[in-house]
Amino acid sequence: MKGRWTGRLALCLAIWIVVSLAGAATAREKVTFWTSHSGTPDRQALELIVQKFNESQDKYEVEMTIVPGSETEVAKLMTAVAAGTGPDVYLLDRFTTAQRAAAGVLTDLTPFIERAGWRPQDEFLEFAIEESTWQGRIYSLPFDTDTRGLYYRKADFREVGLDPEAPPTTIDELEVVMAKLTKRISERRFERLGMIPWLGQGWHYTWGWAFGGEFYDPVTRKLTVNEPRIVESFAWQQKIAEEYGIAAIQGFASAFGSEAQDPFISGKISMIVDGDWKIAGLARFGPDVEYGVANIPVKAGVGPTTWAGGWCMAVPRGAKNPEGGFEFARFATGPVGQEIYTRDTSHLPTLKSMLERKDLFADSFHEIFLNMLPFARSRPALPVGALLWDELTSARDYVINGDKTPQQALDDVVNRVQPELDKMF
Amino acid sequence: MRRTKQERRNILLGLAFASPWLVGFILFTLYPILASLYYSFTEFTGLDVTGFVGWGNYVHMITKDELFHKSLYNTMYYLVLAVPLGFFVAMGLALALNLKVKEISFYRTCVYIPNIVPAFASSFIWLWLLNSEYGLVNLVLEQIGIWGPAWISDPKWAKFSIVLMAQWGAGGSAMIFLASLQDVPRSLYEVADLDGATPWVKFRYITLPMISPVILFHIIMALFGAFQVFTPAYIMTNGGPANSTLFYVLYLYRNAFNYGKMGYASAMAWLLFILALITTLVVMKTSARFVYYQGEER
Repeated sequence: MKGRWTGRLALCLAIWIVVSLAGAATAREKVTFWTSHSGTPDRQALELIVQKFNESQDKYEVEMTIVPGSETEVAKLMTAVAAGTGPDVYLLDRFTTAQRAAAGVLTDLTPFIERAGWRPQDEFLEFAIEESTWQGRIYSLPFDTDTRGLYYRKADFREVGLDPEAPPTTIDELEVVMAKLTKRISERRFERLGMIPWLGQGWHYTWGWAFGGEFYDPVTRKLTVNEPRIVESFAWQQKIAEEYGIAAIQGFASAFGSEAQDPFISGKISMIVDGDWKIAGLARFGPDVEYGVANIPVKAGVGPTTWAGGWCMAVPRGAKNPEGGFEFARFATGPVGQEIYTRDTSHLPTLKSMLERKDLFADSFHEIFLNMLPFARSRPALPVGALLWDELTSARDYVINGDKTPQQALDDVVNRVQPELDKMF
Repeated sequence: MRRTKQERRNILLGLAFASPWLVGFILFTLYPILASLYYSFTEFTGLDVTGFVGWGNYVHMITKDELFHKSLYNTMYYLVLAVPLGFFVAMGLALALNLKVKEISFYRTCVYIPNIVPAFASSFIWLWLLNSEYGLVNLVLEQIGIWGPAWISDPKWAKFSIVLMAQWGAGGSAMIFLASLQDVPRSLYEVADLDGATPWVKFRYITLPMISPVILFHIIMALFGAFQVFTPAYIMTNGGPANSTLFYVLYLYRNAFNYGKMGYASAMAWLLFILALITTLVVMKTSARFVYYQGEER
């Protein structure tokens, strides 16, 4: 009896040893990939890219994990990197690359790029690789991008006797159209507003550039957010707020929701500045809305303008497998990864070679956004990008609520952010 | 003082049994607290200490940082309104729940239920209740002829909206008050009745003194909670509109995790700690005359 048990035990042991040896022989190096993109369809597209990468070679195996976070909020990454438990590759909002690099959160990718004998500058759009660069070193690889345009409801235009094929192109025209499209129930209640300039993607940057402003001078390394043209763009928003009544607008806007309750889809507003991703939302929640897309109206004399954002792949500091992280980043931001992401999420690609690939989009609107890329601006790649963004947003709020004059609000932004910027150089 | 062998053995054994707590306390509470004190004198990104600045962070905060002052003002505004209001609401509820009604246990449950809802979920509920167009609050106000404000989307009302919202959680304190109300000896009321005391006199001269230690406890806990107010602003308004709900701790959090200024955030945390400490000491000192502990000579 006893002998039989020993025999079985020995057999089990032998099997275990063989299995684990075989496992070790084929085991691939683990690469951990973190993203905060948890929604449809972004997440599924990323999963597909990971799957394609794992199939494409036998050295690395990428594991994707969803972590909490957003554009400027990377608390999870910061704490993990500080504790030495960070991932090998992270999907980061590209305009914060400089900030995270300056804070020492990211690995300098330049040596990896040189070792691979590769020139990313030749492959990616210029503004995108610029956003990925801090003090001449490349800290991330550009992934997707997006641009912003003016969405308008054609039926509303027809209803008030406007030509639905001739959306406003200048700020002056925009004001006239806004007034025509607005319908009031009473003195302080609206049935429909022509537009709320600061809604959607109508950010400080959007209107600042539309008035011909410049936010930063890279030569003197000075913020110029209080220059006359940006002050003028803030003053214009203040004027709109006063004309329509800020309390009435806020009351009206507090009922806005998302998806089917989106104010543009439900017809509460006739125009909005928004990004290309809104096409997907309109197709899903407002398939009957007849709309057009045009360039953002600009001040007379200023050329067409919009701005592009997007994400990037970065290797955090202290990554256990930085080579693997870099390999995956290169794959995901390369032709295979970007084709999947562009097709499945209808964001725009950052690879020059893919600009002509109009077959990747099922709709005709994306071409309009794609055509904006040549003149698209990007936010200055500053190590204080997130702080500057929040400060500009506060300044905009002060101005539309009438708490500060545009000049005062923007001077305050410079006084708060410039000293922080000076520390970095 | 020399200890016997047995005594030393007992001390060691005692420490050994308490060691899970001791290790946890030293590693996860004491060390971080002391480390944050050190970091508050440095420039610290969360990863690297890039410079020692002495009192620099504190000086900058007090003399230069406009948002620091604004956030401190916002938190103090909240504290000054929410603590007294919270006391009156909780006390009112407790007195009502102390009535001898048949289905009283049902009401008690109802009052406590909001406390079970996580702050995250209740913030979303309030977002809709306070909606200026479709919100229930403004709908009710409209019925009585009042045109309600835009609440959380109006900078003048946003802070006050959060103060009102905080009363949603008054049930927890009400339960504690209720327990203390029921601890007041019945004989005292009977004696007062014989002397013909009015309900107000009984409340003022019997109930209040008898439950005063619980009131003190409530006020100190409420002060601490008010200094740390964060969740509703983080979820509902993200500090807006126009920074009107940028509370102290929310600004601290942004410095630490969004702007990579962990050293500055540590300094803010220590200043808040000192403020809370001073406030508590003042409350403790001034309350000594009003608080009555049973068995104490007066």
